[in-house]
Amino acid sequence: MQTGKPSAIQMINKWKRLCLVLLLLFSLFFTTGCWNKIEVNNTVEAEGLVFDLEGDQPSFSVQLAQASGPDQSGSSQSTKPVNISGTGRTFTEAARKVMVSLPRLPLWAHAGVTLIGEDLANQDMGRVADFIGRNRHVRKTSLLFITKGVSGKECLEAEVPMEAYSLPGLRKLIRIQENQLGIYMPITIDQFLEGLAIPGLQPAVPQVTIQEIEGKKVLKLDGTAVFKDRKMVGSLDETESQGYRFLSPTMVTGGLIIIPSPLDNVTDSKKVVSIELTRSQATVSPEIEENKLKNMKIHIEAEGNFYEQTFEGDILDRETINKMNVLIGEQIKQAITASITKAQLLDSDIFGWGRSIYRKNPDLWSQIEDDWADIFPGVKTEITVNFEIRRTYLLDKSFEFKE
Amino acid sequence: MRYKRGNKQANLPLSTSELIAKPISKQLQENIDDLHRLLERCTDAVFKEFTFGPNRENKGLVIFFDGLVDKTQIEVHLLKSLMLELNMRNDDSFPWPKDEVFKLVYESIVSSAEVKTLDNLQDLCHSISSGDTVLLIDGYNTALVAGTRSWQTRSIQSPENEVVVRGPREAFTETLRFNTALLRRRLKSANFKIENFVLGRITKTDVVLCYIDGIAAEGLVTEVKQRLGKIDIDGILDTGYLEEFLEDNHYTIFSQMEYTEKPDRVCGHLLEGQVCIMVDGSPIALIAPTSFPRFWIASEDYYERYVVGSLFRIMRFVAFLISLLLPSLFVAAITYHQEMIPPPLYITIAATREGIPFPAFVEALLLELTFELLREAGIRLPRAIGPAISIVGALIIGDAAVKAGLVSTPMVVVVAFTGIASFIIPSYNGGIVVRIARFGFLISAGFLGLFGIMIALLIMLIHMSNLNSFGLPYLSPIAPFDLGEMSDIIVRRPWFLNTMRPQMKGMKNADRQAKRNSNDK
Repeated sequence: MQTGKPSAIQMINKWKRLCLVLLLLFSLFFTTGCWNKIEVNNTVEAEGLVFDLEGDQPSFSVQLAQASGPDQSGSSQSTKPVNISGTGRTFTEAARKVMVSLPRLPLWAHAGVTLIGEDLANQDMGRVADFIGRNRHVRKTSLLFITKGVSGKECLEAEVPMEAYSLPGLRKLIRIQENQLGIYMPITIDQFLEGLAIPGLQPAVPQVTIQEIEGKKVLKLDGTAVFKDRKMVGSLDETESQGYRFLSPTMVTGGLIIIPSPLDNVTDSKKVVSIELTRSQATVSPEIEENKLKNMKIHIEAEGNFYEQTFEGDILDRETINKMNVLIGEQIKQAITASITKAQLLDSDIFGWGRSIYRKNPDLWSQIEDDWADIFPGVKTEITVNFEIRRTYLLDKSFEFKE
Repeated sequence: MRYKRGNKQANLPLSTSELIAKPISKQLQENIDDLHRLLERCTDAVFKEFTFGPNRENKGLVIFFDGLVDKTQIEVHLLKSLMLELNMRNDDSFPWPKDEVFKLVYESIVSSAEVKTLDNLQDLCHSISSGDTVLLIDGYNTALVAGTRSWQTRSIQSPENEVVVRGPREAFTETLRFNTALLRRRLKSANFKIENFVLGRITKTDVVLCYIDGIAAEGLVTEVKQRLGKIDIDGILDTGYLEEFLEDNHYTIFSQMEYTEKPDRVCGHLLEGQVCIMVDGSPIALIAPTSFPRFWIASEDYYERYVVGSLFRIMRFVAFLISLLLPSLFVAAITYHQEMIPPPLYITIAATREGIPFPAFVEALLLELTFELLREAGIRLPRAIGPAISIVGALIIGDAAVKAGLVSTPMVVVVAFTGIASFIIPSYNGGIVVRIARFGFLISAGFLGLFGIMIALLIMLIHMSNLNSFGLPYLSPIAPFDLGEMSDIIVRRPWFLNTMRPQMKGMKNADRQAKRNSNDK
């Protein structure tokens, strides 16, 4: 009896425990509560986020993708984007104000493009930095653009040819542009925030403007916005943007370079040679002498392919090719110098020279950090370019016309 | 019990259960009475009484079950020898020893190839039930058994479930002797042992345990024998009965034994030190021990060149993951982790889901259930109706449901893809596990997203690592990890590098090539 009784209690306890575990497991299904569970039908995909200032009020607009019903899904009909905006005292409030007219949850995580109005950029990017940096729904690899001459909201009305949604179209645009033409460099939110936070580095962001083509408003890349601390202070033009791109610490691939004819007897400015850039790598190292910054030594190692000549004459011999290599080097140098001059004029270290000084000599940087704004405009540079033409594509000689 | 009591009320001298334990009597008439009582209402039992010998002074009885025997053999080897040829030689050169008739009959008259004796009714009944013919002679308490087994059988055909492109196409049949012969033909070694057991109180089913002596671990063989010996059941109709008795862990969805209908596959396993259990009346052989990763090994991998075999194996592994996880991953992604889906794909999915009344989880569950339903119906339906079901299934689910806006097309694609992937798992019992587990994953994904899938995966892995099959850890060689054996699990090791057998506890002879052991001929 006495031995049987505890075991019976144990049995009951065992059953109780088992039931309790099962009950707990079962209740797990209902307690998920899941604030992040959301059915697809209650969502809408955000294609791009736009931050503006309306007067002094933060304004937030979002481009939404219209998902067509099942009966239309078969045909790829052009679907029009839906643009919705809201204003508030903060960007968060503005963004949530969108909900007064939108019955669905916009999924910002899909927004590949973030557009910042020029007004906001001119005033203070600090007003939006925390929002785009902290909010987990904002994709940190989203590409950043600044408007030029128009507000962000206006840009939403414009379109990108061939693209159903203009903002993701912009993303494709800058990627292909960079590969084919090599002028503007895309920048992600992450990189931009880095530029705002890290001493000795300023962000530069490609700009977007509206162009009228046959009565249609079309978006177009135009210039690179240069920031000083939190404000946009100026803008680089095409050549300067190209120079800025050459100075990028990462290897750049793709681009086009036009050089004058290498032949001495041809001096017509219309007779030029097109060179396709395949890759270019910049090495920027500060030269320090006696604990003082002497100059910035910039070396570009680049190569490319002979693409086109617009005049007669055989230029594809070793000697002329070497000559062309030098000419291309000069062309690159010019672009780089132009961008450095502009940056120094605007007193904005978009190349991150301060950071490279810090990396090379942290002691020196701690001495000059506070005066860097004064020192930067006067920094001297020594630029060397080594360019090699590698291929000539289908014709191995210059085209020979019949007499 | 009731029958027993009934018999007693009828005031019979012995109950059938007591009767069957009786030794064979010297009096033929008593034996005949006993047998008639034992076999009353057995209309297929044939009793043939006859006389033979000089002056027809010896009485004999031939007893067999009609349909299980080759009557020609009985006629030629028993009746003709005794009744006709004996009389023809009845001269002086052939003395008739009156006292040793049985010995004479056993040694020089019955010309069957397979002859033995027995002395009790129980064995007698077992013998005739097995298709042998029993000869009783008046005055002797020993019965003569002539092997005359011959019945209508299915001939050896190509396997129905394990179809191969390259490799042997023979499959086991329901007759145990044919099956062991198929194995013996491939393993021409005296070390290939076939041990016999009779299980089932009523069915008296022959069960054999096959292994290669010297390769299979002794501990394993004794363990299997011990477990077989403990089985006490009224009947064994298929190896499936044995599987549940022999397996180590009963409360699990994972089967811890493999089965096959292909003799070449059995031989492959025997050569790797595993044992095989076959049952008379079942064309399926059980193979033990096994571990989970072995379920995605097909015998064909070893017949095809190693590159092809390896690629198939990798593909199978991927398909296994797809069929286990794809629906749950899809549901988790579109209900919790929308940011994981690339934007253009998300638009497409959102467009097709526009106006679908069910949550994604319910939709997936419904479609999966329908798929399982169709699959099961496809197996059970009479062959003539089979195509009709597939047409109805395809039309209703593939087309009408989507058109009616009940389910979305991506979900149909996901479920169909999962279904296709699940068919790639070579063993059926390995595939069933995946089918069951898939629902568990789906539910956990529906409630907890990727986190839930992770939890379910962990639970499954913890459970699996707790299992073992005759001492072999169920996840080996993944856990405990063994690189040498992994090279024959994820990919197929080329034969020229395949010098070692998979290691199992207690295995003595691990070399496959070069170093020859005297036991391994």
